[in-house]
Amino acid sequence: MWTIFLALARCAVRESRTLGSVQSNNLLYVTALLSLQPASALFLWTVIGLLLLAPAITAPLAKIPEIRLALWPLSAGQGRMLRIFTRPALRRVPWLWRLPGLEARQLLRTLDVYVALIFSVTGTAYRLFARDPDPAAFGVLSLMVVLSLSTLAQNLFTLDGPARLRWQQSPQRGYVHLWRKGRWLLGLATVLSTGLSAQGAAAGMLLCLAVGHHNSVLAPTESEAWRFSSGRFFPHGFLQVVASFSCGIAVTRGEWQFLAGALLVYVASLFLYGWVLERTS
Amino acid sequence: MANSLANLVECRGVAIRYGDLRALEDFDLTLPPGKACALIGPNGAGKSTVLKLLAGLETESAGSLLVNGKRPQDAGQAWKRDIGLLPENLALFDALTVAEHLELSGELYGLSRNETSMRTEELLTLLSLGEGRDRFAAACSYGMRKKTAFAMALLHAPKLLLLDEPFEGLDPASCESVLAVLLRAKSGGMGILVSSHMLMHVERLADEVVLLDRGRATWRGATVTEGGLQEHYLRLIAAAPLPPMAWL
Repeated sequence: MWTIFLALARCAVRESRTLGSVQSNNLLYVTALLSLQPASALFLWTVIGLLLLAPAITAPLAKIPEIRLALWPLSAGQGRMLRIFTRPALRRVPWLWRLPGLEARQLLRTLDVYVALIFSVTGTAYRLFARDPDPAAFGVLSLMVVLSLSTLAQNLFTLDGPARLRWQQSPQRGYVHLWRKGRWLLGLATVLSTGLSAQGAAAGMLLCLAVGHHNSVLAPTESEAWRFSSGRFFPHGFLQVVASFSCGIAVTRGEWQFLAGALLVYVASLFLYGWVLERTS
Repeated sequence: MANSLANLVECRGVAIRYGDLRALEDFDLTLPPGKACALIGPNGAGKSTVLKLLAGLETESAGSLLVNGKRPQDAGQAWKRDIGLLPENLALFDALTVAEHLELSGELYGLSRNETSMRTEELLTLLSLGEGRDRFAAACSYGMRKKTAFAMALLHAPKLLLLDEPFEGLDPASCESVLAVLLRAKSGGMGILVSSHMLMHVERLADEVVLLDRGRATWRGATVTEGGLQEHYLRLIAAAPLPPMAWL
């Protein structure tokens, strides 16, 4: 029995390292920066903490394969005790699987998307129900949605796991694959910001994708389901945050040339890294 | 033997080295259309490395290599349309069903929806995957996953089929189906390079067998050998002697 608990403890320690994926997520750095004003950061820390907690409480103890549990020579009492801890819980959410589109199914199994959803809901509620909402805040809130999704833009292929090989082997051009993956993030950021500033979010996400193509193609970071995605904050994440906020705020203020500029940068990056993708295959 | 321009695979003195590790040394191979070649040998001998090399997933350290007339590393995207690969790790998406894998494959290789649908139905029926067509890859048995990956390799009717252990993990009836479709593909002009430990299937499929051991081709010949391939293999690669194992 102690041997099993020891193995579980080892699994738990290893699992806790993957929870640390949030350490290399753009959101954490910005939240840390906002902590200089503790009142503004409290909400963010609460959201991140709650989202991390859900998989953390189920994951380590669900590590024993059912078949091992059945085969090990345990007494009935020991078996019952372990079974209590090893029931799979939040790992599978069947309704998510049935969504059309591979990328939609994959994205909805990352915590980044749920942070974005929380920003979207609370931001839209603020706009609709606050007594005297500040219009300048709408753009910033929509860019918080973008910020939540920005690290995913550095990891367009990592959620495929070993099946990444399928893109490498495909005869289609590299930019087609980058567009196929990126359009879901672009669409998600725009839809979630509809009640705030969809145009600002679109401009911000275009730039996040343009910068993120580099790591997606050349230096992807492994990602796991039900975790925050990991990326590189310096220089890619930093560039993503600065570029998306500057451009997104300008577009929100009606300076549409910045949206055109973001689109141009995105298209250039799409073709450049599409070309690189074909050669790194 | 077909002339060199028509050969699907031409390797001359190819080597792959990772630092001090020599994964492949002085490897030669010629494969014309309509022929099948089998790579056999112990685990870790370099069979999968050869398949990856021909698919453009590994780069040669020395020697010359042409696949369908081009060096894989310089061949470009259109060249990939003529290659079908069953990789060692199967490369399946956990979040797609069996049938969705084939739909995706058809889309990536430029098949029309009707063509994809027609070929998918035939392959699912042939491989007895019809009942599991809506099951997610993550929930499939190993055999079903292997058959799904095999169907993906075949769906776009490539000129060259590279199969890493296509029979391993399959039930006997499925092995027969896979063998039958490979023989049909071969007679239609497809070139097939297969790595396998299932020597009775290899004997029926391959026109040439290459034995790899520690990265070198140590024997090659036609499959018809005295006493059968299994016996011949064990003459060349002896099984490890049994230790005392008194505890057993």
